[in-house]
Amino acid sequence: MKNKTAINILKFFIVVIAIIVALQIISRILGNIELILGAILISLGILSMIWTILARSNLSPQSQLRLFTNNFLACSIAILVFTILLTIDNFIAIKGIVYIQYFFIFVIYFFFILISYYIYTMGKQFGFQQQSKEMKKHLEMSKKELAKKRMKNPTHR
Amino acid sequence: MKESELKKIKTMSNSVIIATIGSKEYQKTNVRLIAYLTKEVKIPGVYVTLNKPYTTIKELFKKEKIDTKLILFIDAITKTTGGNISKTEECLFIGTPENLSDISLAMDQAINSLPGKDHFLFFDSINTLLLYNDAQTISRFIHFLAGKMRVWKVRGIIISLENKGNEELINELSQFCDMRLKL
Repeated sequence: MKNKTAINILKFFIVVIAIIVALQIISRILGNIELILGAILISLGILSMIWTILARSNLSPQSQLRLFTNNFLACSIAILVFTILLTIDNFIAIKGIVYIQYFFIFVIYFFFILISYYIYTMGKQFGFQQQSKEMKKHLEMSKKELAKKRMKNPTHR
Repeated sequence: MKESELKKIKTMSNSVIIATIGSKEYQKTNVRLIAYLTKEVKIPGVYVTLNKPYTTIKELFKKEKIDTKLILFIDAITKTTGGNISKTEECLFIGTPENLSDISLAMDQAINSLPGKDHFLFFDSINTLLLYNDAQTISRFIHFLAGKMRVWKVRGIIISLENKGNEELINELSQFCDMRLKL
């Protein structure tokens, strides 16, 4: 188990180093690291969107999970648009683009708050920890009572 | 209901059972099964009801002196008109039996929060699911549920009404389960 974890950590570091080296090589060839980073971030954003859309299509309509996914999708879209704007900003100096970027940061935070709220409500609704604690207490009490009864009457089942 | 059939449930831990029950004995058998699991096998569990409201079931269980404190209830029928999810101390009310995603999520949370190692999951019933979903969706859901039950390591009991109309579906669903009981 420990060996597996160590191997996984090693793999992760190798991947990170490989990405950095690849970026360096590409930036030397193309001469622009910002463009490459932008392209990578946009592709990550698109991948996140695709997975979210696929998940959404499998969830029941009006379910809490789907509602959560809808907000997550909106958040992903806002992050993607923000990244596109950031990449564009590096090449074309558009006046006032920074305000549009701020607007999208605001949208991202807005959806993050909504997502947090949904997690909070889902935790409250679907969480059974309180009931579980009470059940545990009840089971322990029942065991003690049974033990007492057995002490008084050894034939008691 | 035969005592030997009940004993099969006791001996089969970590397994999935599909139980078909005659309409006349339906309620009585369900209560008997839960009484057996909580009183004889003495394990806590989750009762998913798509058939009767939680309050009705609780009354039935109290009459039979079943310790309802050992059961977490998930009710997907009471709120069919409202559609919102709400929770009391004893039961989680989910919108409709159509809402399979929320039912799955609720079952996952409930099972994983149960104390001890041995638990049961009682799913009542396939027939009500059929009223809200098509047969293919139910087939996929039961396949998913049977797989989950194995992961959760519970005694999973899926109830179905014995009727000629859904015999084909029950036969299909039986392949996902470890045993089919006629109670």
